[in-house]
Amino acid sequence: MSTPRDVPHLSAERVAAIAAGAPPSAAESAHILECAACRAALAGRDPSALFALLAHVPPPAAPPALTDLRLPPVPRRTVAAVAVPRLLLAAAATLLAAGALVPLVARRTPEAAESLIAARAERSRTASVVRRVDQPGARIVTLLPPSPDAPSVTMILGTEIDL
Amino acid sequence: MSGEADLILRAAAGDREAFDALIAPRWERLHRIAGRITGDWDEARDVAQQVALRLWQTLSRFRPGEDLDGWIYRMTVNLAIDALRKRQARREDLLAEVPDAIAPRPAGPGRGPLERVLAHELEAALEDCTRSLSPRQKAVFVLARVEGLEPSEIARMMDLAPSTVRNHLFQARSAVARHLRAHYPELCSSWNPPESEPGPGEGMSS
Repeated sequence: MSTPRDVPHLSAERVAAIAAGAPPSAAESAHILECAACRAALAGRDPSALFALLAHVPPPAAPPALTDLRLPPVPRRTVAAVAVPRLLLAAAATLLAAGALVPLVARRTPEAAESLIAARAERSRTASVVRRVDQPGARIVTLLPPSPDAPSVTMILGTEIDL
Repeated sequence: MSGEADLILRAAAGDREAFDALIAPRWERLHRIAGRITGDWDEARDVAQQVALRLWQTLSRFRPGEDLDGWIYRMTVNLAIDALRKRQARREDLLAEVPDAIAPRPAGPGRGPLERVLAHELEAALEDCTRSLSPRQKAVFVLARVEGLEPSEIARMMDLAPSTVRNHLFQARSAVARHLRAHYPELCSSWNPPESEPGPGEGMSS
């Protein structure tokens, strides 16, 4: 018998193997497509095995050419991977620098300078009073005001204190 | 460094020629898998382009020795299944509306007319017989039956247990076989060889 393209029929083992899921070779696939006998033998075992013949059939529609692919010039992930950390670092550095500069700038304003002077004077007075109260024999005397609106007077008395 | 690893590095740095060299050998196969899972070659074109774009965007994360084939075909199968699910959700039947949606391209020089007709018929039958399958079952069937992949390979590609793949394949094969016998008897009619002719099983082996 002349078989398609003078290719011999598939052996029973190959038919069984292909029916069981083994991929046919290109020559086997081409033969079975043209040979009703082998096709029927294959379909007799498992009709769904016939689709194995398509493994070597080119896609019905030609795939688009690679040259038609429109790809961004630089992979976006690469740009993001490099750019985002740099931006974050720059932002963090700016915040740190700003945080360090704020007290310096604030001290240079006139209001801030006045409040600093007042605070220093208060600290100086308080320190002087504390030194006096700590002396041996010192007493604190507070004179009650004659009316609620009048100021009260507090005195520190001691033998070594020169008021 | 292997040639492919070098190509990956160059492509990750934006070398388009290296990228083409990486994907060109896989281009037709990924298009073919996408087409046979989606059942629509226009959709397959979109899937192939999406796969290429995602590969271009993620190549910088690839490390030497990583499975590029696995990544490409896994992405192809996942995107094709998504496309098929979307179409099924829209309840579209492209083959009914456009009977030539699965149309063979002109045959190569070595392909005979009968072979062409049968290939065309098989393509149409494949889409028809697998339409009732779930997208996942269809993908498993195409990968196993048409692409000849082992269940273990399919399991890795689709992130499924091998037993799940075998189960999908068994159900798909049964459903497809029933449909083929019922609707395509000419493709699976039993063969009664004339007495003078040797039958299958007496010749080619490989």
